[in-house]
Order: sequence, then structure tokens, then C-alpha cells
Amino acid sequence: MRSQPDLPKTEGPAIYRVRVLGTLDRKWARDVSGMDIKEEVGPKGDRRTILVGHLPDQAALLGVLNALYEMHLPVLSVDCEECE
Amino acid sequence: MSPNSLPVPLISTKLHRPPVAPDVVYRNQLCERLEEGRHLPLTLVSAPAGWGKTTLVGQWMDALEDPGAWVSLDETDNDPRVFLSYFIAAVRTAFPDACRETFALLKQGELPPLEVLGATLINELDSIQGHLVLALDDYHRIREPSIHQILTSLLVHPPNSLHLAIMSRRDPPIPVASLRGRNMMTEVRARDLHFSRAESITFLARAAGKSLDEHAVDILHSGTEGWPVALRLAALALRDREDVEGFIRGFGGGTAQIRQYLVEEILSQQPPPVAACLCETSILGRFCAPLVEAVCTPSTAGGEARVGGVDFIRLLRDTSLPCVALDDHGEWYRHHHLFQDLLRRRLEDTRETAEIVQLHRRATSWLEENGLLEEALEHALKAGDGAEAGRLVGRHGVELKNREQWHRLANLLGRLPAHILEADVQLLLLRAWFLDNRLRRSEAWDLLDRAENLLERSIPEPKDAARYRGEIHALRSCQRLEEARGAQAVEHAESALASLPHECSSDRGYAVITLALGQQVSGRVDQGYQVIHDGMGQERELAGTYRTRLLSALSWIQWLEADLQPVKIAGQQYLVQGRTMGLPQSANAGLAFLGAAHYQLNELAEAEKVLAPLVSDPVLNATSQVFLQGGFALASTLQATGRSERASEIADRMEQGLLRIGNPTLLHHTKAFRADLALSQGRVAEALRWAEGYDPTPFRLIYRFYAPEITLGKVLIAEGSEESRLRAEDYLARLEAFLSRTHNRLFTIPVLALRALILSRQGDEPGALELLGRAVALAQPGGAIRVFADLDPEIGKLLNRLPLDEEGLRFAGRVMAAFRGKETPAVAGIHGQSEVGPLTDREFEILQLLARRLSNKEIAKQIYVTPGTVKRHTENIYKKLGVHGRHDAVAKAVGLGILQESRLAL
Repeated sequence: MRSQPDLPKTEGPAIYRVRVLGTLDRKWARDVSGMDIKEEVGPKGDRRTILVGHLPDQAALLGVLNALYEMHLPVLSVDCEECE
Repeated sequence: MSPNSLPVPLISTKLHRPPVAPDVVYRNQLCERLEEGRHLPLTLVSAPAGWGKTTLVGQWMDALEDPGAWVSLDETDNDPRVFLSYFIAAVRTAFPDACRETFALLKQGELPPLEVLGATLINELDSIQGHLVLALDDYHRIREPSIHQILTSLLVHPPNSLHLAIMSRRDPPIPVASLRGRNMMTEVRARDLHFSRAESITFLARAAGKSLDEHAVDILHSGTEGWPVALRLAALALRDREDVEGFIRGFGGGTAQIRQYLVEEILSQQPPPVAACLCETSILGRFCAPLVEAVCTPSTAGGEARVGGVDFIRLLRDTSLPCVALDDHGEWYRHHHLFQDLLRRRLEDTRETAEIVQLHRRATSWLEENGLLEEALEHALKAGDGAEAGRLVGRHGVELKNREQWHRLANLLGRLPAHILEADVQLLLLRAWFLDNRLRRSEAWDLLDRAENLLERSIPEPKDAARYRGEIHALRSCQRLEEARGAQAVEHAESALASLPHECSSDRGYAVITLALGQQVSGRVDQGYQVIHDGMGQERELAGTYRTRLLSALSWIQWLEADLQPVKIAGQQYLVQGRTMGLPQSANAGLAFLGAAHYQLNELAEAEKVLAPLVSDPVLNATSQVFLQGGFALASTLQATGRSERASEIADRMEQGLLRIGNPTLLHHTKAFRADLALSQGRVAEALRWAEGYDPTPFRLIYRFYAPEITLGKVLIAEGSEESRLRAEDYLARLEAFLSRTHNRLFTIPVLALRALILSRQGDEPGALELLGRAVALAQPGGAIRVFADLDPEIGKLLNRLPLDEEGLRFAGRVMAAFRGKETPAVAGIHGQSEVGPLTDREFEILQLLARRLSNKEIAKQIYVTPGTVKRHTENIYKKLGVHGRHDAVAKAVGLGILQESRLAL
């Protein structure tokens, strides 16, 4: 029996990496999500963006994913470091 | 506040702060944190459902000294106009007079650019003396980027008076990270909202109404992971349960199972009708006793009588099932969102889809009957009943038009699935009316054609068919009118009035306008007046927009007849009626007519005063008709009073605003107007470039304040080459023929004057004077001055040489004064005038004596000279004034402003 539950992974801070198809504004990334962005080129020559950063919890992660969705940037992958 | 004074109808329960349940745990530390951050721009509470976000902020605001305001957001707030209406209404619960300008902007047909809206809001919030905490609950429902933008600008330039508290299930797309980095916000996250073990113990003891042993508490606490809503549900389930052990044993599994388990527990403890009702009311965004009764199934399968609405609500409160009071007097409630989700899931699991659709239908019915259209529509759409949704909007179309609630109509139509709209004659027509109102006429005529085709193919009820045909005739009538086909316009308008029932005030009024104008255009202006007078005599129709449209019709006809004083009177009445009846579009249209008439009469100071609010700094009112009239009239006024830069500024902003809206007709007009301004400001090349791209043929009806067709004539003449002159002659002759055919008095005046100018330059003075004389004859009765004064100043000189009677000379004098930038009424006598050649002091003295009707001999005696000297002087005076006698001399001098009327002897 747990005496003090470990924080479920949805509520703890972690480093997340989100890859999307397309490019986005650096300032946005900083101001809204607090994540760094890097651009890369995919196998077919398409431009992709990787957002990496420390987020306080998954409500924040969902906020970022939702914002990307509203900007019509398809999400290719979402990884959580330290979540394993 | 009358409903019509609001941009959108407001549901007051959304502004009500949900009261904090009495048994909640007071979250001391968190409230202290919020309090510390009160003077920062933002508090963000971001956590999934059921963490107690609303409760926390509610607790904090209860204890605040500063006033607090609240908005509970939902899907329908995804429209900037709606969102800001609630925002401002909330601010006004604390500061009733705040944000007037922003509020006024929200009532305009087209919203100004976002930046302008945001800037105005921020300025007005800044000017509030005092502090306010404004809470926005459920912000995750907002998807609309323009709203995120407005909030972002509010946070980037935070007004001193405002603290925003945003509650959301996920981080909103505003610069959260940036604010976090600069320590400009207080953040509360899920892990902060966890109940600690101590808090769980306290809460469970209170809410379950019994004390539990440590073991039980531990299981509940860890099972729910300190999730407040789950603890509340557990406490509820435990309250009436004797067998605590048994209950605890069921607490295995993960959180998902726990939730469903809890809901089932709770439901099983209620009498079946109540349990059923709980699930059924989960479809409602909010409910009151009568709505509950309307929606909930009359009796359960077991044959037990259903629970009454009032009883249900009392039960909710007494058992402290998670529900939220939405007002102070116990009328409206809603379920706690999470609880609602769980109930809804249960509903979907245990009932047939058809039954659920029935529930939605009953909700739609009751909501519609009680005037809550937008919510009724929500339910019709959720029931998947597109057709019924369409019929619902159709049923209220007439009412919305009659109240001039055009954007509300557009909103409702916009929520309907496209295929529903396309297949319904009434809905197509409603959209056509909306487009017509926004002056997007080519789109409107398209829809009109489609509606007519559809009507042929379908078989509606006979009285509906009559009404639809009437509406189609009314819109066609306008279409023909714009094509300058007066007779056909009249026919269609008469058919419209014959078919439209009396309650269709808006449509009938519209048909009266096109009928009256159609008559005027066909040369039967008296019949036009008759139609209007008949309309005014009909008592029962004098409600709302019908009456104001009669005044509109009157203003239009009188404008085209160049009868300007009556336009002022009609315009003034239009304005007053519009204000009295809460019809802002009518009020503004009246204002525009009034301003236009003042302008045309050269009463420039008055014009500016009247028109300035229509096109006020820093905002632009872009409501189609009013815009065209008012905006151009104001810019013209500024140009005429020597403020060219400001005039150009206004024209610039009009163009930018129109580019955003994308209305080609209005844009086209505005570009022409800018060319006209360029010409007045001496930039002939610019005007020429516009002229090259402009083709006014085939001529369409010319009836507004400003006519690009006239500008073309001006530009061709100004170009100066022989070739242009020939083109101008030809063009103006054709234009004059068209204006004559359409009996357009007002715009014929400048065309005749321009033609006279051409002849004059070719040396044909008699010919020129003949044409100019005709122009004056048309202008003089109504007092139209700027039709001349906006043309080449040479026309003023020509005017000086025109032989006229006394009245005529007075009029001519006023026109010439206008050319020199003088306003009417006449400015005090300065007796040096360039065209006329300055009068000497002696001449002026004698002129004054002439004005007092003294004979030459009497004058001679008065000033101690011989009568012969007087005679010599008077002849000089006559020559300089271009007249042949003393009466004429006095008249002209008065018109020119050399003499003041009041100095005349009786």
C-alpha cells in the first residue's frame, strides 16, 4: 500500500520532445510553450520542427499540442524523457 | 438594458460566480499564493477536470477586497463579438460605465480590425479607477485564434486595473512561458491542487457525515490520488452507506474504473426517477425546474411517477450532489462538469440513441418557447436534427430582421450545416437578406436565384409560399433598381407588398423604399411620396423597422430630388426613431443622411459635428451603407475645410477596412473616391491612373452620396488635352442622358456644370451660360451648393457672369462663397474678394446704403458728395458684382458674404 502516492506521470514535470511537420515561429515557441525549436529536413525533403523543453505537467503538454493542432501542424511524434 | 442595446443577447447565469459549497476544504496555502500574485497580470490555474480549479478561485475571490467578476465560458463564446460582450458585461458588474467605446464597436455590423479592438479595450480598461479581478472559467473551450490574440495583447500590455484569472484544463495558447519566465504570473497546477492526506481526512469527515478510520481514509486517498472530485463522489457514496468496508473493497483498479464505480454507486442510492433524471439532465448546459420537467422522461419503466423539477433541484442541493448554482435566486443550475461527463457516459451506455435524441428535442422545444434561441439550436444540432435546426432558425428570421439583429441572424445561420441551408428556401432568403444588408449584393442576387429555383421545384404551405414570393419580389426590386430599371423595380415592389404579410415589417419597409425610389426614377416622384405617406398613415405597421424604412425612403427620394432641407428633417426623424426603438443601424443611417444634407448645403461645421461619431478616431465604422454615406461625406467635409491630410487619412482607413472585409463594390467606390480626393488635392496624375482603369458603363443607378461617374468627368477635363476634352464631351453627354432618363436631379447638376466648363474653355460663352443656367435652376430650389463647389473653380467665375433674378443671385453668391472655402451661413463681411475685385471703402459704404433702400440723392446727402458721384460709384459696384441694378447688387453681395442679412433695412 502506498503511503504517499508518487506523482502520476501526468502531473509531474518532465522533458518532452514533440516533432511536427512544417515550421513555426521561434518567438511563439519561446513565449507560449517555453520550448526550444530546431528545424530538420525529413527523408522526402520536407521541413520539420522539433520542440524540446521542460514542461510542468501534461496539462501544459496538451496546451502545446492543442496549439500546434490549431496551427494545422501535423504532430509526428511525442516523446517524454524521464517518463519510463 | 433593452435587448436591442446589447450586441448579443447575454445569458446572465454565465456571469454568476458559482458559490463555493459549504463543506469544501479551505485551501489556505493556495489562496495565499493567489493573493500574493494579485497585482501581477495573470493567475493561471491549469489542471484536468475535477481538481477544484473553480472552487479554489471562488474561495479566493470570496475573500477579496477588490471587486471580482466572472465569466463561465462555453463553446458559443468562440466568436470575438460574443466573447468580448461577456467580458465587458463582467467588467461592468463592478464598474457599470466602463468600456463604452469597445461596447459600441461590438454593436457595429462589421467589427473593426483586431488590433483596434484590442487597443481600445486596453485603453478603456486602463482608465478604470480601481482594481478588478476577472475570472475566465473553462478557457479550454475557446478555440478561436482572434480571442487568443486579444488576450495575448491584454497580457502584453496589462492594464493596471485588471487581474485576470484563467482556469483551463490545459495550458492556453497565450504567452504562458514568457510570463512564467518573467515572473509575471501565478501558476497553480494539478500537483498543487492535490488534496494532502490531512485535507482528505478533513474533507471526508465533513462530506461523508461520518468519521472514518485511518485505513479507510488511506485507501480512499490513494485510490483517488487526492483528486478532489473523486473524493467528493466517494464521500457522497459513503454518506448513506452503512457498510463502509464493502464500499472500500470495491475501490480497486485505476482512476477510470473508480469514476464509473462512484457514479454507479451514487445513482443506485437515488430513487429510480431521480437517477434517471440525473442522467437525462446531463445533456443540458444549464437547467432550471421547468426545463428539467420538460426534458426528463415522464415515468420510469417501473411505472413510478417522475420527480418534479423543483423537487429535483432541491434534492440536488440537499444531498449536495455536485451541482453549481448559476444565479442568486435559485433558478438556474448546472452539473459539475466532470460529474456531467460521467452521467452522460452512463446515459449513452444505458439508453438507445433514439431516446437520447428525444431528450434533445424536448430541450429544444422548451428553450425555443422560452426565447432561448441559441441554446435551442445547440440541442437541435446535437440531436443530429439538421432539418429541425434549420426550421428553428427559419421560424425566428422575421423577428430577427425586424429588430435589425443582423449579426445574430448571421451567427445562427452560420451554425447550420451547409446542406441544410442550401435545401431550404426560407434559409437561403434569410442569408440573402443578410448579404444585401452588408451590401454584398452580387452574392445576394446569386442566392436569390437559387431560392427562386428551389421554390419552383418545391411545394411549401400556401401562406409560406406567398411570403417567400413576396420576399423574392422585394429583393428583385432592389436588383432592378440598381440596374436603373425603374418600371420593373416598381412592379416587383408592388407584388412584394401585395404578398408580404404585415408582420414582415423589415421586408415590407424595404419594398416601400424600392417602390418609392422606383417611382422617382421613372419620373413619378409624386407617386413615390404618396406611397410613403400611405405607409405612414397605416397605424398598425408603425412598429420597428417598417417606420424607420419609410423615413429612409423619404430621405432617398428627397436626396435625388436635390431637396435638401427636407432630407435634414427626414434624416433627423430617422435618427430619433432609430434611437428610440433601439435600432442602431437605423439611427446611424439617419445620422448619415443628416450629415450628407448638411454637407451638400455647405453647412460644413454642422456636417462635421454630425458625422464625426460615425467615423470616429481611432475606429472605423464599416457598416456598408452608413459607411459609404457617412465616411465619404466626412472626408469631403474635411477636404472642403482645408484639412486634406485628414481627409486622405479617412479614405485610407476606409480602404483598409474594406480590403479586410473583401467587399468589391464598396472597395471600387472607395478607390474612385480617393482619386477624386487626389484631384482636389492637385494630384492629377494619380487621378488619371485611376480613370484609365475605370469603366462606368453600363450605367447603374446613381443614388448614393458620392458618384464615381462624376469623378471620371472631372478627371477627363482636368487632363487638359484635346483628346480628353472630346472624350469628356462625349462621356458627359451620355451620362447626362442616363441621368435624365432616371430623373436624377441632384447628379445632373454637376454634369451640366462640367459640360458648361468645357464649352466655356472653347470660347462658347453663351452655350456655357445656358447649361450653367439650367444647372442653377435645378440646384437653387433645394439649395444644393457643393455639387458646384466640389468642381473646378473656373465654374465659380463662370457663375459670376450668369444673369439671374434676385433669388438666383443670392444663391449664386453662396455658391461662389463656397468656392472660396467659405461656409454657409455667410461669414461677416470682408469686402475684398478676388473674383469680384475688391470694393473700395467708399463703394462698400455706398453698398450698405443701397441695402437700406436709399436713393442716389439720399445717399449723396448722407455722405456729402454729389448724386453724380454716387451714380459713378454704383456703376462700378454693379460692374464688380456682375449685376445690373441695386436690388441685384444687394442680393449678390449678401450671397457673397460681403453684406450681412441682418444689416438690411426692413
